[in-house]
Amino acid sequence: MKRDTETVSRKPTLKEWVLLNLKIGTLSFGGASRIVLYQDEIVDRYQWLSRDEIQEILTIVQVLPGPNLVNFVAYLGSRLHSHLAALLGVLCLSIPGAFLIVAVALLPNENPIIEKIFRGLSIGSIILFSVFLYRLANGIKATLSTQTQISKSKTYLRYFLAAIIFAFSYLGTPVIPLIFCSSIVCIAVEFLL
Amino acid sequence: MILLQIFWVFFKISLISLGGVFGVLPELERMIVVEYHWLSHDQFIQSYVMGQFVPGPNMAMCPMIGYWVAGWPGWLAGFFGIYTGPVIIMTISYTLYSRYRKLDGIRRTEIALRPIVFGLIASSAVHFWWRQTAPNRFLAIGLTVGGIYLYAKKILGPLQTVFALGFAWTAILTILELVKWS
Repeated sequence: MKRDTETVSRKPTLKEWVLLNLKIGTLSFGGASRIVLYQDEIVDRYQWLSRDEIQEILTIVQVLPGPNLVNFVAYLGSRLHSHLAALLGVLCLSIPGAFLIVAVALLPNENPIIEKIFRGLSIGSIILFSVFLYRLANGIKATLSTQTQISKSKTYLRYFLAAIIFAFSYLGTPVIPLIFCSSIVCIAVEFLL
Repeated sequence: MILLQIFWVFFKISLISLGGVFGVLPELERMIVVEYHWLSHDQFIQSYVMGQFVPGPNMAMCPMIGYWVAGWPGWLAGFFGIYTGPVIIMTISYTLYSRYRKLDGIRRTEIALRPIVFGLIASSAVHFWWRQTAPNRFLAIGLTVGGIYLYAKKILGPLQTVFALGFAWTAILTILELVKWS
């Protein structure tokens, strides 16, 4: 579990970064799975960052405006290499799909085989998602090395908040007010309790 | 002129989206279908479905819409409209955050916000899974559990898992249909 909290921060070459984004940009069919692919490649394969650092970036980009995946890749690019890498990363990630979608529109509609394949790919991506969520859940109980171990009740409280936010989000609460209110609650819990 | 409009629509959308395109879908539809009359409701839905299918961010529907409205120049306007804002905001955010990251308070705040990340992602994952598995839930549960085992134990890599599921699902359903017809 050493890889979870230690900081690693090795720098990729621009070429490695570009190739990674091109790869994910062309192969990530099936919905839901893209950030997971980044986590697997960056933490397990290339070891440019630790799991905890990835989680940190994910938290930051989630509460800022902009779509998560795009934010994530742009921030990652700046973090790992340079602002140019941020731009190139987003381009390499997005251009293949943007071309493909125009091509797909020209295909005949409602092909049942294609629909099945897509369903299957989606379920596959949910599998990646589940493991990813498990890791996220682990990250919730993190503390800084400068803090003493936080009390068990505070950990339970954090998990409780996660469940509440899940419920509200699942039931359709608008995202921006939800993030705003839960940020206040989470920060209050952290610093006042 | 229309290119500027396309760019501006998607630029505004990029600023209010938190998550994927799913959260801003109603507002995007309102602008595209109701306000500008660029697409019909059905065309809009079709572009959304295709955006889910292709690799990369599901924002791919934005250059798609631009293409339908104004050809390849429209594609460019849509593409840069949706992606420019986030890139700028993120590079600035990184510069700021990395400066203050060393402060304990900032780090603790980030950790404190993690339940939000979990809640939102979990909710969209469950929604997504529920929608995608509609008529064959038991099969879906079985394959999901099996797939989690294979992926978590690192028997299959991430992309292999996804493609293997695609193949297995298609094969099993096709066989089931053939059996019913015989």
